[in-house]
Amino acid sequence: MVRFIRFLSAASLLLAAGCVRNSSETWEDMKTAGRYMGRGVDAIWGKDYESRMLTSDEEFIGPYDDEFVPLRDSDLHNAYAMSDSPLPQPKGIPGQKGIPPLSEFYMAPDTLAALFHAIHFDTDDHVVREKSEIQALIQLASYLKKNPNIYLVIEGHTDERASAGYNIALGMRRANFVRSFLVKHGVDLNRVYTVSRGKEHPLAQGHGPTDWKTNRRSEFKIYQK
Amino acid sequence: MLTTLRLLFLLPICLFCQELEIRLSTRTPLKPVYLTGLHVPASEYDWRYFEELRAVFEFDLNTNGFSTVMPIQAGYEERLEWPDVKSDFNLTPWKKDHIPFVLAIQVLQNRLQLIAFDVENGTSKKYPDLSLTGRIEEDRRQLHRLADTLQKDLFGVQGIASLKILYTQRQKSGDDWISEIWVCDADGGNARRILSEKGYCLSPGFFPPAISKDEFYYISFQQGQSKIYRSALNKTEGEMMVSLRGSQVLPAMNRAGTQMAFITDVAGRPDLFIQNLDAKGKMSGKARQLYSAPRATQASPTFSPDGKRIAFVSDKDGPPRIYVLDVASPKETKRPAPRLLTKQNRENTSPAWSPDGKKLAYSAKVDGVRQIGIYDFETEEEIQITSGSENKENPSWAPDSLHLVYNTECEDICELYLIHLNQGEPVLISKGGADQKRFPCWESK
Repeated sequence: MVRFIRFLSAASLLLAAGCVRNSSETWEDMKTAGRYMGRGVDAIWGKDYESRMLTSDEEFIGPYDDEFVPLRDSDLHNAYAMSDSPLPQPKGIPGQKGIPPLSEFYMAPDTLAALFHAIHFDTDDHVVREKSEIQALIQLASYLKKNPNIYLVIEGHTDERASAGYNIALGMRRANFVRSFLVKHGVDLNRVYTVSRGKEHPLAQGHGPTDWKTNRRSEFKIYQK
Repeated sequence: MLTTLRLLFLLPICLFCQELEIRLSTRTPLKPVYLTGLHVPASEYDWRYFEELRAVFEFDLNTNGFSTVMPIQAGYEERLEWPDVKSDFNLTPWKKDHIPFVLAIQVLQNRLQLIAFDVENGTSKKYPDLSLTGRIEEDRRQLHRLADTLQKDLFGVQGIASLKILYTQRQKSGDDWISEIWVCDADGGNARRILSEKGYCLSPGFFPPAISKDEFYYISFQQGQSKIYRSALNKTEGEMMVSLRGSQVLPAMNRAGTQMAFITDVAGRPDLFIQNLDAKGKMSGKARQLYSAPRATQASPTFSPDGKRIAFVSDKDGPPRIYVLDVASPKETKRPAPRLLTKQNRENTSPAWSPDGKKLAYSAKVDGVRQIGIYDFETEEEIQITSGSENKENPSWAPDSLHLVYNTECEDICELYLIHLNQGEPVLISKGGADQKRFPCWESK
């Protein structure tokens, strides 16, 4: 019995020592594993804000413009890539041919503030996961469908912790996720623009977890014709 | 039983190894140089002006990675006979004191004169006089060029002191932030704003000399979405360089000036694209999507010197890491398979390929702090070259592939630092203040 207890203790300590480098790296590893597990579970349950199996090549490739030479994504065909299916940018260029310049977009008035409130993200993530915020996006999509005279700019922001370069790309990913979500819920893609602000325009100026959470957001600006 | 418990207690402590900081093995000892006090018999200029000039020269000698300037000593000064230093110079005491180089500087009739004595070889060289203008900006530049020439003569390697550094300076403007393009000398001096367009600018980069001298590209939000622009050091405004819909960020140009890589969401996600350029650096043909991955964010491309490969950041496998892929033929539209480079640390970003092609500098999170690391392509080692509690990012190589400039980030303070791989200790080159200096980029040769 004593030998067995010794053996168990030694094995446990060896496993722990082998797996753990330091506490913050362990936490990051757990979060990474959790994200992969979450994606897999979500895919099984077919949550369409995250992914689903694509049914045809047309749906996969999407309505490409001829502005650039795309990769042929056929090798991604089996991947759960719903939220990543190509979504072209609006045809109209802001400031030209009746499209309002982005500098003239503004924060939604108080009467609509609740509808256009900021959407928040987890660290290093670009998918909206809070049920209340997903519901808010669905309501926003519904409003925009009923008001086709409203143009929308989605700004993607991050917290300060990663490098400026990576954050400007992550902000782009967040803004495009929200755009993709709205378009898939029926909003005209030609009325929705995206801008990444990275960590360049923080809302909260502090340097703690609460400030970081506030800054990991997508904000909306509108233009009503 | 007790013995067993003690052993079990000690075992994990032994297995908890802290990551060690490893210095590059290229370190060579610095050669001591005696730089005389600046001998000025009489001049119309203020003595502080000459003090500053000497300090500029001393800084260049101290940061070139080859020499270290000794403090001025009265005993050494007495060995020199002014103004005809050369004819009366006696090698013997300098040899006895193991001082390999003596640099005698003086100002005669507003002309700065330098004589370099190579004590080991028993030779000397008088450099062409510099005609001082009295304008500190111009005279600093003259001294930087002199320092570079001197370095070439003494150590066989052309210096980088006369090259410029582009960067962005971010500051509060009312309730919002602005970020403008600035340029400075390699020692941080002569800093000035370039563009007068108000707005938000990021990630500038010099055109390669094959295309243009003094021109640069950068990101601007003046149209609302980020686009790639080009301008020049003698201009105040830019013109759009890449006209794709959506946003374009993080541009990088190859050394030949024939291609530009960047990140854009023209296809609805932040993917790596490449654009061919003509001989004048203008868009040629369509942009080509180079890399994409499900639910991944791509960032910060950098070309290899031969232009055949691109290193870039992707979080396709979890935290952001640096990958490298071949720049495929324009006819290839199948998604390429990048190779993972950085494996040791988490969150590796801001890669910069060295001009000699042998190393990649990047920012890596080590124990929660972003440090500058070097990836050696020959040995496949990942080496940390900075330490300390401030986050560091955006390393940029000087053309000698030995100097790096990067910016720190500590809460709201961002400064520029210079580091030579042979010297190890970074040197602050920006001049403090509340403005944030970021995205430094060294001029190429």
